[in-house]
Amino acid sequence: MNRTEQQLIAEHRAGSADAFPELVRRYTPEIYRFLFRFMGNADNAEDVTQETFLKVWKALPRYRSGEPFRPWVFRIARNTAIDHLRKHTPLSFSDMAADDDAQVFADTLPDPEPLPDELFARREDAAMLASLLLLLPFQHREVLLLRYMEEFTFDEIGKALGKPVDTVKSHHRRALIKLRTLFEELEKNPGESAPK
Amino acid sequence: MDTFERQNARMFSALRAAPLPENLLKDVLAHVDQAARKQARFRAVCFGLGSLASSFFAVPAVMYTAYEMGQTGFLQFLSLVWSDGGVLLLSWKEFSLTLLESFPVVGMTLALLAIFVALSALRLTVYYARHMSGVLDHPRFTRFVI
Repeated sequence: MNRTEQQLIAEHRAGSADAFPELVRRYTPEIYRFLFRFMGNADNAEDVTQETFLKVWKALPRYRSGEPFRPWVFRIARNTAIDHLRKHTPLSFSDMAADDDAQVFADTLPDPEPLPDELFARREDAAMLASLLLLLPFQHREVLLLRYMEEFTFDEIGKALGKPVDTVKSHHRRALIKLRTLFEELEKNPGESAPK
Repeated sequence: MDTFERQNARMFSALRAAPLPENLLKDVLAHVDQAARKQARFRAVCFGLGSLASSFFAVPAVMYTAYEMGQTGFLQFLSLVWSDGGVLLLSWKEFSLTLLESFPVVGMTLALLAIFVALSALRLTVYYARHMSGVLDHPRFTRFVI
């Protein structure tokens, strides 16, 4: 029988020994994948995945029934990853600061257009895309990963990041513009592996 | 989803192929299990100490109750039930009031409270002591990690 997350949480709270391992089994691959692409390092992603599920286990008694579980878990993963990055790598002020003040500017930008075919073909190279993503501020990186890799809706992304949907859409738009710029720079300077 | 969105979804789908470390699931569960054992051990010790403290407190509380019973004459009044039960039936209202007045309320409350806390703490000590073994030892758990 395929139990839903809500059923598994109820069983875990009732003392079932196999409910939590089942939740871990279901979510470990996508949480790890998200963290790996978000942090750009397999060892860090592995450590943070373990830490994430420990926090999930500790927070489950406070989890509100009916709240979407997937954004809730990703929110814990994302916060744990940011804590880890803050501890282990010096984040720049622009990374840390909420850039809502620049939202007005972003909203006036035109929608990014689809890429030409040859550039799009190159964008399908996972390694290159992964390295370019790491050049984006983490607010932009997380939105793109959740939107396109994990196929979240904007509403779910808002829940996962604890941000209003409009802010998420603004970050999404700016992230795409920045990513496109990076690709175009790379196209102009194909010798550079990591454009600035 | 427009063309641009579809294009991006296709592009990012390539990122889904991140290889999962071989023992990650086992490591995650072991990490949680270790924390669960630690938490259970801590709680078992705390409740054990609480149970012990309550038991120590229960002894003087029971002794105080016995002393209060002697002082108020509660036991003497109560013994009338066996010796003069028939007479008491005729004046049961007065007898009940006298019995209530002589009841050692403070001592009895303290003693019962101490016993209740001691037993509850003991029950929780046993519960957490059992969980100190953790989920890794649970037979249903092994199917996830083997």
